[in-house]
Amino acid sequence: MQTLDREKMKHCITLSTEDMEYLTANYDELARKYDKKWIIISDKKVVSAAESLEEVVNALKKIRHPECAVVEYMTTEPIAMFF
Amino acid sequence: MRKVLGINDGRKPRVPAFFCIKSLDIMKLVWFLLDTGSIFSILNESEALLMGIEPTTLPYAKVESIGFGGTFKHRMINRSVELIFKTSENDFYKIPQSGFRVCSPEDKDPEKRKRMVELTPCVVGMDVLSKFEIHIYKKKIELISFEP
Repeated sequence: MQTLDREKMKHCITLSTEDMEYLTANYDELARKYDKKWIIISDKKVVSAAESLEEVVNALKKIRHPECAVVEYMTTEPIAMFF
Repeated sequence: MRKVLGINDGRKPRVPAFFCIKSLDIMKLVWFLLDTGSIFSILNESEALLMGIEPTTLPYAKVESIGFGGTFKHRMINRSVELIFKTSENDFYKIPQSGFRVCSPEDKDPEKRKRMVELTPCVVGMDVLSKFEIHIYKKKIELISFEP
């Protein structure tokens, strides 16, 4: 995972913020579609869904900006979380 | 005024920051949950694995942690770490850390452990948040640095 220069860092945050906005805006629909799966969001779309983290690691190798992609575990299960 | 922006979806107020370990050539963008109830920040196991760090190879921290569910031992990245936030002025705000905690759940039941790895977020606690004025709005977050 290479070190990024300032312009690439700015671009990375912009891309990732767009992807996170896409995730939050479509969370319920995506959770139903990808229930109990890890998803990778890049360029405002789900580019990969995986059962395990090992699969996510391999899938990230195939995308353009792996260090900027949003990775999230999706579940429709209602869980009370306290941190 | 340096302002860092994040996203609040009503469930998880999160802010992006680059997690950098120069000595290991690691730099990855991580979305951290804002947690004013945590004293320290922590990286979850899944993000550590995605960076190529195997949490089970890391040493345990000397002190025990406590949370809902009881006490647990977290692990430590004993390297210099920088959290780098992008500001709304298109600049960067770096927060150096002399090490960083990693949450690697230990449960005898492999299914429970798997669920913990899936659901445990990365967290920025008060070690980081105390450097900011915190504003949580319906859809967004603003962290305003106390430093000029």
